[in-house]
Amino acid sequence: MGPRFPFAVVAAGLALGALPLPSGLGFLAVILVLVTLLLATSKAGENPKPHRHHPWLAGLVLLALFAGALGPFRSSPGGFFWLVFPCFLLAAPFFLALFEASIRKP
Amino acid sequence: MKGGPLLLIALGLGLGLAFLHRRLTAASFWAADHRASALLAGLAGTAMGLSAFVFVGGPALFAQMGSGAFWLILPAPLTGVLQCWVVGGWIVSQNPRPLTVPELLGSRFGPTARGTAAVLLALGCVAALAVQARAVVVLGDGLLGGHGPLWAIAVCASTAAYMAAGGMRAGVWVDAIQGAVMGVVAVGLAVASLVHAKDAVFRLVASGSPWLGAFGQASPAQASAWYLLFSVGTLAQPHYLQKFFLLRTERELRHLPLVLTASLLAVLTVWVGLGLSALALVAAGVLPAGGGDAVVPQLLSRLGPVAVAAAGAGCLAAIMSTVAAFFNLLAAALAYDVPHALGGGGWSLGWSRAVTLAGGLAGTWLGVASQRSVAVLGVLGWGFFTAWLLPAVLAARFGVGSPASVTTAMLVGAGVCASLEFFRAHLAPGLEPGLVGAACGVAWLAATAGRRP
Repeated sequence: MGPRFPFAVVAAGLALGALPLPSGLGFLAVILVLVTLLLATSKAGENPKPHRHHPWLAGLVLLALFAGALGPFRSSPGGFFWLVFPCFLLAAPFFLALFEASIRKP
Repeated sequence: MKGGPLLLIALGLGLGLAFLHRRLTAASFWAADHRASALLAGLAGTAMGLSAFVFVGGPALFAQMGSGAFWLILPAPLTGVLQCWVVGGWIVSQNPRPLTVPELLGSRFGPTARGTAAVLLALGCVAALAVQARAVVVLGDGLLGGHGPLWAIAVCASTAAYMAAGGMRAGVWVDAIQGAVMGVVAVGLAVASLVHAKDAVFRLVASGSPWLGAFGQASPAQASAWYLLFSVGTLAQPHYLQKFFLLRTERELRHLPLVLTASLLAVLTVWVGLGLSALALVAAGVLPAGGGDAVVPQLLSRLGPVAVAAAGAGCLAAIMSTVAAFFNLLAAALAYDVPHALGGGGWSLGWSRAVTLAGGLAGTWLGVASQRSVAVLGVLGWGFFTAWLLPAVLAARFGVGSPASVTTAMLVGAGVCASLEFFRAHLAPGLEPGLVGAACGVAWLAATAGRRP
C-alpha cells in the first residue's frame, strides 16, 4: 500500500461528505475520513500517536452516536438530549482517555 | 457604554506602548519564542479559534434551525485530540521550529509552495477580519450600545496597537486571558438564559417540537457535511495550527487536548444555552421570528444590565482574540513568508508592524462595508481555509507530493471552493464548497504525487 492510498480514501470520503447524498452515506464518509487519517497517523513516528486499535475504537463510537441520531432520536425531542449528552459531554472524556492511553511513557 | 470604544483604544495603546521598546526577534513576534505552556497555548488557542460566530451567529443559527445547528459544534469533543494526534506532534517535533504555516509547508515543498500558501492565507485572513469587524458592527448596534461601526474601528484599532507593537509575544497572554473570560462568561450566560427562559424551554420540549429532533430543520446530509467540515477543518485552519507553533516542548503537547477540550466545551455552552433559550422564546412568541443574527442581542437585553455587560465583555474577548490571531497571520504571510519565498532573507520588525496595521485597516474597512450575515461569512472563511490548506497540510504531514503537485492542489482547492461559494445560493442543501474544494485538492495529490519530496 503506497503513501497515496490514504489520500485517495480521504479524497473519496471528502467528496462523499461534501455532496448531498442520502444521509447514511454522509455519516459513513465522516467515519471513513477520520479513521483513515488516524490510521495513517498511527504509522507515524511522533509521540503521542494513536495505537493501532484507537482509530477503529473512535470509528465505532462515532458510528454508534450517528446511528442514534439517524435512528430513534431523528424526529423526537430526545434528539437534542442525545446530541448534548452522549455526543457532546460524554464523548469528550472518551476521546481524551484514548489520547492519554496513546502517550508513550519514557 | 458610550465611552467604551475610547476606553478600548486607550487599553490597546497602553499595552502597545509597553511592548514598543522590547527587543523582539522573528520568533518572538510570530511564535512568542515557542515558550508557551499547554495551559497558555490551550487557552489562547481556544480564544483564537472561537470568534463572534460562536457568540452571535451560532446561537442565532440554533434559533433558526433548532438542533440542526448543533452539528457545527458537535465535533468539539474530538477535535482537540484529533489536532494533537494528526498535526500537533508533527509540528512541535520539527527541528528547527518553523514560525508560520507557510514556512512549515515551504520547508517540505520549497519557496513556490510557501509563497502560494502565504498569498492564499493573506486572502483568507482579510476575509476573516472582515467577518469579525462585521460581527462587532452587529454587536455594537444591538448589544454594546452606540454606533456599531465605531465599535468595529475601536476593536480593530485597539487590537492592532498591541499586536503591531508586540506580535504574538503580547498576543498569547492577552488571548489566554480573553479565553478564560470567554469560558466564564459563556457558562454564566448559558445558565442565565436557560433560567430566564426555563418555562418556554419546558413547553418547547413538552410539545414534542420537531425543532429538537436530532437534525432540527437541517437535513441529515447538511449535518454530516458540517460534522466533516468542522472536524477535519480544524487540521487546516491557520489560527488553529498557530498554537502548536507557540508550544514550548513536545511534553506540553500531552496536556494540550485536555485544556483545549475543556475550554472549548465551556465556551460552546453559550451556543446551546443562548440558542435553545432563543428558540424557545421565538416559539413562544416572546421574541420575533425571522430576526436573523439580531435575535441574540434581543435575548441578551432581556437578561438585564449585568448580563448585557458580561456578554459584551465575552463577545469582545472572543472577537479581539480572533482578530489578534488574524492580524498576526496576515502580517506573517506578507512581511515574512512572501519576502522569503521571493528569495529575500532577513526580517524587519518595523515592516512587520506596518503590515499588521495596514492589514487591520483593510479587514476593518471590508467588514464595516459588508452586508452579508455573520453566519454565512463565518462558514465561508472556514471552508476556504479547509479547501486549500487541508491538502497541503496532509501532504506535508504524510510526506506525499512534489512541490508542483502540492502548489497545484492548493490552487485547485481554493479555486473550486471560491467558485462554488460564488453560486452558493443555487447549490443543493448539504453541498459544502469547502469540502468539495478539499476533496479536489486531495484527489489531485493522490492522482499526481507518487514520490516523497
